[in-house]
Amino acid sequence: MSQKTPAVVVDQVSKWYDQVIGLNDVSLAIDGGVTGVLGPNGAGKSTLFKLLMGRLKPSQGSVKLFGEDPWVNPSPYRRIGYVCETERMYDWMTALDFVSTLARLHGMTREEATARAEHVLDFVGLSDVQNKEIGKYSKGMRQRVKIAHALVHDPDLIILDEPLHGCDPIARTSIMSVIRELGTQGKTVLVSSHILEEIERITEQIVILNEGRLLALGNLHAIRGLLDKHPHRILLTCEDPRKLARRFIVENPVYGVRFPNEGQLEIQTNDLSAAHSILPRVITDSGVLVESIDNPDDNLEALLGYLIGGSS
Amino acid sequence: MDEKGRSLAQSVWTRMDRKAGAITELTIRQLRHRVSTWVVLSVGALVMALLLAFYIDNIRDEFEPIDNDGDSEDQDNDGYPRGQEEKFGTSDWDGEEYPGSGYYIGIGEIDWNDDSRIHSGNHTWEGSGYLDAEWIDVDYSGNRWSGIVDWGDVDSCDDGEPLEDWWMGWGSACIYEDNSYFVNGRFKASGSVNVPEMQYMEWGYFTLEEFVEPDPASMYIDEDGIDWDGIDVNEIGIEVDDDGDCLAIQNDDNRNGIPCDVIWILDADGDEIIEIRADYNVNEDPAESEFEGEMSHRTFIIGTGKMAFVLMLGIFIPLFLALGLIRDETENGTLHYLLSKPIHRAEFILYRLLGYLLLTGTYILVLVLIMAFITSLIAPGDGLVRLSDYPVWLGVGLATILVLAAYGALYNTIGLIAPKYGVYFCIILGIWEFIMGMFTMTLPSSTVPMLSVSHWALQLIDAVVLIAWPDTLQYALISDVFGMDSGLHFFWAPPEHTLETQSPVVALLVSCTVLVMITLLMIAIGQSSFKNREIM
Amino acid sequence: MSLPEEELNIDGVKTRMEVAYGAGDGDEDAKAIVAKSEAHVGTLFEQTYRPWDGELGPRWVRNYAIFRHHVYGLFRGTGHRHYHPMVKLTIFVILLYSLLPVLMLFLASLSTDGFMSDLFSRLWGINRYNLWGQVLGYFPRNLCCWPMLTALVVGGMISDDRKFGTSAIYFSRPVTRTDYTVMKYISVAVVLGFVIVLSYFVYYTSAIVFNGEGWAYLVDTLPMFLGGLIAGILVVITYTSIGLALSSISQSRFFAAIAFLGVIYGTKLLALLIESQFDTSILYVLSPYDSLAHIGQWLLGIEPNYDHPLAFSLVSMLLYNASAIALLTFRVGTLEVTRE
Repeated sequence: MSQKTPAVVVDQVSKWYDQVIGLNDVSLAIDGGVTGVLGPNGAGKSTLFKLLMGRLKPSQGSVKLFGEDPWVNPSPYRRIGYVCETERMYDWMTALDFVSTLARLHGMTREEATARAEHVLDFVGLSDVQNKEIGKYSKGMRQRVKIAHALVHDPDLIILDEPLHGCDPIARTSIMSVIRELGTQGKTVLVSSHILEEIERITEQIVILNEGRLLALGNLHAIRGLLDKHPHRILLTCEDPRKLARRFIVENPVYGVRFPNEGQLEIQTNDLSAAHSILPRVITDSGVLVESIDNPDDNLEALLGYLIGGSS
Repeated sequence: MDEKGRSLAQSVWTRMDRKAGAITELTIRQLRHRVSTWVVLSVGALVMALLLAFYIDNIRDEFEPIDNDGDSEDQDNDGYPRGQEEKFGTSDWDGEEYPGSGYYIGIGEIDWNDDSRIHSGNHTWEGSGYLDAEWIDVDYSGNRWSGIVDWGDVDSCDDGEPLEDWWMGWGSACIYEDNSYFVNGRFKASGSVNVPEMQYMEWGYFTLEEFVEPDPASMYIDEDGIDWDGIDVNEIGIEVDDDGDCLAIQNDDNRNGIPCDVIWILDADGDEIIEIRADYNVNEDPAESEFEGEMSHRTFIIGTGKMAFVLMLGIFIPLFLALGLIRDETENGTLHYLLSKPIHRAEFILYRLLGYLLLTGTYILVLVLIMAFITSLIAPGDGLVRLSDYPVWLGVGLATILVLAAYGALYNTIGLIAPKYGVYFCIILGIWEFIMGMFTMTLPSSTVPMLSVSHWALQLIDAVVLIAWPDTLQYALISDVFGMDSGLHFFWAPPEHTLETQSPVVALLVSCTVLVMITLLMIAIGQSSFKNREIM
Repeated sequence: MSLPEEELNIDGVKTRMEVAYGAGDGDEDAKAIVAKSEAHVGTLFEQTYRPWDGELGPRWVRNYAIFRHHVYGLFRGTGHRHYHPMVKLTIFVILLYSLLPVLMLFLASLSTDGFMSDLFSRLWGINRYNLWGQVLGYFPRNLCCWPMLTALVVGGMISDDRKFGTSAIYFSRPVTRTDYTVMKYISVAVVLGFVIVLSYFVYYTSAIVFNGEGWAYLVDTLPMFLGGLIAGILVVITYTSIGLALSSISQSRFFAAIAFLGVIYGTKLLALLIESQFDTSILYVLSPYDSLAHIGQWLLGIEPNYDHPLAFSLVSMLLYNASAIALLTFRVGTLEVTRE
């Protein structure tokens, strides 16, 4: 297990369930830092993670974790923490019990395991309730227990399957900060989500999957930049859209305007960042009161729409 | 992970120990947190308590001696049991005849071919003849005979030879003109009697009646026991008819020329009875407290071990507890937590089963030891605690635990192969095992039950019984041959699978091996199925 | 902006609501409200909630739907309760097996060989013992067939509702808990009765048909037959009560099934052990099967092979039924309409 091999190597992997294709010829290599795996429901995120964790056997291609095939050999799990989607846990156990029992599966003694469990539970902010039964926990606390169990053996690679799913904003924030913290500790972290905004707050490095295909890989902004040749839209809600439109139409990055509804102005541009840079000036110059500025394209669906549109 | 400063000694094996410990502990705690576990285990304990209650109740009054041959009874209600009447040669069907009642002693007779046909004297007579009486006891009514002449109703005799020319009933007389009689029957008189040709007459006297103390009926229970304590075959002496009721008839049912004996046929080593051939009325009434008490105690242990432990607990506990060991985890999705740890799936199955076995095995052992302790305290026998029971109880425990392991592995594997409806197969399988267990008990030598787990466990108990109590074979034979009504024959038979060595140790090893092999095979099948299972 | 009412193209006469609450067969053809005209971009449908105030179907019709759901599932693949093919097959095999004597009687009637037909009619013909054995014989009927049948049918009957929260489907409709319990009970009883009582009936009638028996025979054997019929119905009722009660206390269909087998076989085995050991049949009152068998022997006029008085068995059977039904109603009464 040389450190030189990337933590995750997915080589031309396809996975199909009978007639349904879960993953279609995906190749990836990930090492270091936090990586967000993005995609709508059914895109193949969980399939990818289950292949990585040796739950599923690739129909084609090969999966390597630290150079080993997880389907055959569970030894890479020594260096991996996995947070699964499952909601169910052993409700009758306390968090400390749960984490330390699972820690012992790494070959720790009871004492080591308890000490490590206390440490990680503190890290995810549950030390004050660690002796309560998991059944009495809220959803956010459960997610954090799951993260704690994945961290208990100080892994090099952490895979989190929808860790923010179903959490309220407060829990979300604390989980995000935990993930960011892990990234800064130099670990390889894989986080999946179908909400771009969540991932954006954690990391800039993303993988986009849709319908089993790998659509994009790399820095979020760079990807978005690559998409600049596609038209972007900025939606303004204001008092007098026509007055504002006259101001915008003469600016260079803007190539068109629309009035989708009463009191709304849609600016079409080829260069989003340039358009954003002129935006404040034009609005102040016009003196029109703008209620809101919206980027309808700055979400996963739009991104996917462009990516699919671009590839076809 | 040498950077953590662990020594090499703490490497693979200790790590495996720790993983095994963690998973078994988790399994046990999981089972402990399920209501159904407690329900099942307490129902099992309840069953045992019920059995014990019956056993204690039974032990309390069981050993009232039973009269196997019925000679303590008094059929004719004369106050003397049949045994005593037989000794005195009186009949137990006639209330007038009893020990001490006066009885007749013959002195002489004139039969059909005697020359001198006249006799005189004061006698009690029986027969036919011309009586010239000096004195007749007209009130004589006898004490046990029929055919007493009724002197109050005497007709005059007809002409011709009596009994040739005309007929006269038994117990009657007729009178001639010279005041002599012709008598046919029994009577008491003084005078001379002339017996015609072709008739007979005998005479004698009755003894005085004397009072004979009636024996208590209990004297004739347990009176002809087996002269052997059931321990060492070589101590079998020459069996005799202690109470003499066989010698009175001189039975020789086993046709060895000696009446009223028992032939014990030993095997080549001379330490095992192969067959017992007893003459009728010998050893017919063995002492219950020594013999049947011991036998029913053994039967209880064997019956409980086979039916309550192996068939009831052995089949139902795994159905409740082992089926979901991995299936439930898969269904709940909690399997993901465990499988994301560096543990091989094959190991995982093994440790899960280990946890289940630790819990159920401890339960079975505790139950077995409690049963052993209580029954050995109240059982018949000399010592306060019967130590020889413990190996048998432990054998029962071993059989049950092996059965739990085999069924556990089997059900778990079925649950893995067919996660959704495997349990239906398990139900059908459970019924199959149940039927085969019953077959094994009733027809131990049939081959079909060999396809079941319960068969081997029951055979294992048979073998253990023979090892711990080698004389059980003798007890079984004795109870069969002497017609004693004990359940031993139903619950126990010598083990079948001795590989033609007749050695119970071999049978024990064979049964253990088969059970362990079934367990290992099932684990292996489960493992290979689980290894290639994609977990969604 | 809302579409005027006339632009909504409503197809079909009955609405889906009516289908759910309403009556009868043939509702597969009923249509729901469907807006046929394509919605234009930017059109909002006005969401008006119109409480359905149609006529409720009669109570028995609603209840019949519950019954249908469970029983039709045995015959049809879709739209009703799902039984695994393996379960259907097992039930079918049990039914066939319980009809085996009919086949034997048929063969006997074909045979012209006096000895053979004599033997056949002795083994399978109508007499007290065979009628008793058809429903109550321990081997094979009550060892292999009836308890397994009950376990398979009863298994998920209520425990599945508890596990998946599907009881909400019933209780969010005008179905009372009593209706729910009674219909579940009847569903199980009808399936059991279909196998146990019907096979008994077929056996008796086929014996008459195959042997060409006349009225006199019918008059002679009818009391026996009725006795056996009552015994069979008692078996169905008792097994259904115990099975459903066990199903209602658990969330796992397997627990219910196994626990039922445990009750039937466990008590029998225990009583047998005590009997062969200590020569008393009193513990058979614990065994539902033996209580039924004892009562059946009395009903059919067979010499009982139990030492204890018949009253004990009667009381035991009644107690089993009463306590099982009490447990069942209590559990259903406190069933929470959520996924537990």
